[in-house]
Amino acid sequence: MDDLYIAVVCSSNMNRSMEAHAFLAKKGFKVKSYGTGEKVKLPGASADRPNCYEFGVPYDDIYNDLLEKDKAYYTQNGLLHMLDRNRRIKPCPEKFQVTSERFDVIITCEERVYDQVIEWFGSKRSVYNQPVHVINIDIQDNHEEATIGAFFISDMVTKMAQSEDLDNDIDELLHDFESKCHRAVLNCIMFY
Amino acid sequence: MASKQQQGSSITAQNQLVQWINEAGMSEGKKKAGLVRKIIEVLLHQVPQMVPVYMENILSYMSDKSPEVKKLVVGFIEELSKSHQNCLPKIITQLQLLVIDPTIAVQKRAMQAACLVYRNILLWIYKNTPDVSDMQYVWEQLAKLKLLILNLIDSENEGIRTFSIKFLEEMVILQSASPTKDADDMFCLDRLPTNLPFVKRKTMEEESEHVFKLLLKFHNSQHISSNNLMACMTTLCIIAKMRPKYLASVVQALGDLHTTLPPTLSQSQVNSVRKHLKMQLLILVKHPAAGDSMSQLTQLLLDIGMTPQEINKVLPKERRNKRLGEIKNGDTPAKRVR
Repeated sequence: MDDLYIAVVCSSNMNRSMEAHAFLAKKGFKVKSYGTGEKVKLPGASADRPNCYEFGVPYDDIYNDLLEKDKAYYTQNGLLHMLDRNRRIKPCPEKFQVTSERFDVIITCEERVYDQVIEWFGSKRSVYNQPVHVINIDIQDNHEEATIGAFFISDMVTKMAQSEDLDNDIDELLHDFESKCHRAVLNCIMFY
Repeated sequence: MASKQQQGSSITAQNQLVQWINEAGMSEGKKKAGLVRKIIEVLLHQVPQMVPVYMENILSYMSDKSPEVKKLVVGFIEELSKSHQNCLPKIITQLQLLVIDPTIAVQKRAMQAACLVYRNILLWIYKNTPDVSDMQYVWEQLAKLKLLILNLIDSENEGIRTFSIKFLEEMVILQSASPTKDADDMFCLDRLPTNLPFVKRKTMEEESEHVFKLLLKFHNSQHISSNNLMACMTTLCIIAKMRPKYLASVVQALGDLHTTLPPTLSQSQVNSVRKHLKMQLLILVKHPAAGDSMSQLTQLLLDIGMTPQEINKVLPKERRNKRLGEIKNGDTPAKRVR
């Protein structure tokens, strides 16, 4: 399938979706990434005090904010490294619900995010009648799992891109993916 | 001065068009697709007054070998149906041919466009300005187009079936009366003019009901793919929200699905379908149109494993406490007095 347009979506558009975004972009796929949460949330000094930012605040600003708050702590927990990676990919975290882009495939990294994507489609009337496959693969929100998750997503997208007729092949393709990767997926088709 | 400049740029654009059309005639594949894309872009957006002159040139690309070029022609037809509605009598038959094109990708793009073209035809008729014989011709050709897409629900290709489902959803909604007088819901039966002898409201409404039954049948069939089952489920819920007269039948169909899932689904597909059922029910239960079917909907949500508290949380505020009490007591809620 020519020029498959992919979106990878997690909650804050920081870790899981950005890892997959970087991986897919390197492989030459046409990809964008988003978050569905209310705010961009990053771990803070304690569990009950996360660092929260609005979508649209540049990764660069978030990087500098954390650098100023506690350079040693945020270097040690990998956040500065992650933000540095992110700012090389795109300027800022983006909220899925406000984008006007139309994708062929949306991959979510957690069931709650999948629900939010479906709800968003359910709240609108389709205008273009253009289908989009929404697929969820559960990925835990940590650095190691994000790396493994990106690998799985890339594997799946490669198979999709090789398909001549994705709409016809999707059921079988996902079935094969699950058997090979031992990861359960959820999927459905929605319309723009 | 400005008008002279405009005239000058229009001549430049036309010269460019002619050059690209000649080049496209000698090109193939991606190069040709690139040229056709540019021709369409310039024609529609820079010299739209020249559409009648060059339209045939572009429509002739529909017999091209390249699916990419044919899909561009579909996009051109879609755009003409919106911004150059006087061309509708010329493009409607071309769209019919593209809907039955041998290439699946072209067929799907044409079916996608057919939904928009259908809406644009209705808009054209609402205005009631065109020549009546033109309107009648387009209306008759539209009927043929609808029949073609209706039959494609039995296609061997699952993707084609998906697009057919979406078109049929459009047919049911466009050909039934709207319960509201919202400006947003202007595509409905009651907006059609009554003075056109060939537009028969009763027939259209019957057709809508027939297509709705067909969708129900497709939804409850045993050999439906998981993807199309979910597409059909979404379609039925959209119909229920927009045309509440179908709500009870839709809730019934969703209930039947919950008790008897197609035997061909794998465990993972069952999970996706159940998840989708829950999502659609939650969308439906929050909708104002759900009023009369609330008890069935909440019962279904309980059956699929939600707790009364979880259901209560998603219900609109005014229904919350009352509903929870009813669910706990296991009573059938009394119908609301309006």
